[in-house]
Amino acid sequence: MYERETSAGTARQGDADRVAGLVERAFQYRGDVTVHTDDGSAVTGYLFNRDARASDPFVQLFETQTGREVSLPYRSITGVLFTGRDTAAAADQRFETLRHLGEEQAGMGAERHGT
Amino acid sequence: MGVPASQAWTVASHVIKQRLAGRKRYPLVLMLEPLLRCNLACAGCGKIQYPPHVLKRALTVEQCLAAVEECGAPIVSIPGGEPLLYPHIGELVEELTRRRKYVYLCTNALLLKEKLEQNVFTPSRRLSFSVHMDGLREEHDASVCRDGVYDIAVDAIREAVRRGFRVTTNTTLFNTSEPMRVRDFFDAMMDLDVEGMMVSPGYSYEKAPDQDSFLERERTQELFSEVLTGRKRRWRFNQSPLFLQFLMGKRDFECTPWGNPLYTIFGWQRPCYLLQDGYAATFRELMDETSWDEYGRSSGNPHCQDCMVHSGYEPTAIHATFTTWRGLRDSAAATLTGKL
Repeated sequence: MYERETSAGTARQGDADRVAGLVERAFQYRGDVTVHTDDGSAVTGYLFNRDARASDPFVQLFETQTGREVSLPYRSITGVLFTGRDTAAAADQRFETLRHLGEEQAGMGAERHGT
Repeated sequence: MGVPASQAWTVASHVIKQRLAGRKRYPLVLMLEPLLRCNLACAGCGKIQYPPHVLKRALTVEQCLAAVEECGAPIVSIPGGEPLLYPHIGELVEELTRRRKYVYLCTNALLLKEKLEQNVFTPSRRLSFSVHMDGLREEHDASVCRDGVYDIAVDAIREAVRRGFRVTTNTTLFNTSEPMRVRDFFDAMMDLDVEGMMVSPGYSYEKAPDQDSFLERERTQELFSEVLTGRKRRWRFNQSPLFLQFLMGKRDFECTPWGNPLYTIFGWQRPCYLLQDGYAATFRELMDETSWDEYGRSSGNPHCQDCMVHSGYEPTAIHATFTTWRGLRDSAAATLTGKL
């Protein structure tokens, strides 16, 4: 589904499990996210990678506006917002619409042919 | 057999060299995705659902060539996205063939005829267009969610063959596939004089729009058994006969996820072409720091249980062919007799 900022999560500094959970959700999400950090700044982009097993776990994003690749350590993350459209859900909806239209047309064709 | 002898020898010698060097894990085919953008939105594809700024990104030719050198696989397959949308595709292919790599350029063929007319490519025994064809006109157009694509692809295949290019087809079968229609489709592709066909069950991408059409393992075996039993001699496959026997349920293989590694705009994808569990910065990091035991059917990983896709199992079949007498014998027998 298309998730808006309301589906975001925040974490207290040092709450590693909470951050790891947020990051995992963001990694699975096929839209842009905004990652807030402990210095009060935020990065908006597509979170394409994370490594929770690294000695210093990190995420990697492509910034939406600049295209710049940004790496942030888990320990600096205080919140993640789903701020972009979920493109997988949009594709899903488009396919369902097409399928529905196809079924309708098939039904209409069948009616026309009296079957 | 749809694979030229020179290519088969290149693969065989690569496998033997790796074995002699004592390497347990090595790549056979580098899957190189210079971009994720596509001019189709197929129902069974989960590879293109990204924000526009990500779809606009592309690897540079230099990045592509560095990945090829780092990986060392003798074959480079260029899927995507649609590689003919990549502005440097001609230069990339030329550089790869110059480096003596065998190249499979996987395309939906919507732009192929145009690129041929622009002389973007030169015929070479090292270059094969691998045209996406999921069945006869009705099935293919339904699969790619656009009418008319089958006819465009057929037209492009004819033109490529006429110009002396190697042309193969790659076909994904779903639970909607009807065995007799698939057999008719194989006949139709042979009538086009393609060098060989590649066929595989679809992988159940979590992000693909159509989640209802993916094959489960038993159904895959039933379908391929129905399609390939009594194989016609004129059908040429550009893949290992042992892999086809695996699809028919005649042999059991374990996945080789590192066999066809993927390099894309995100880096080296862990663990395989299909699953996205993260990205490594270097090929060495991918090979050395991926928890391979967590993948493949025997691992119990739920994402791997129904997967029988060629990117994971063709390397196993190739390995079995060139490292065991039985594999070599069975492969040779299937090639000579045409029986699977």
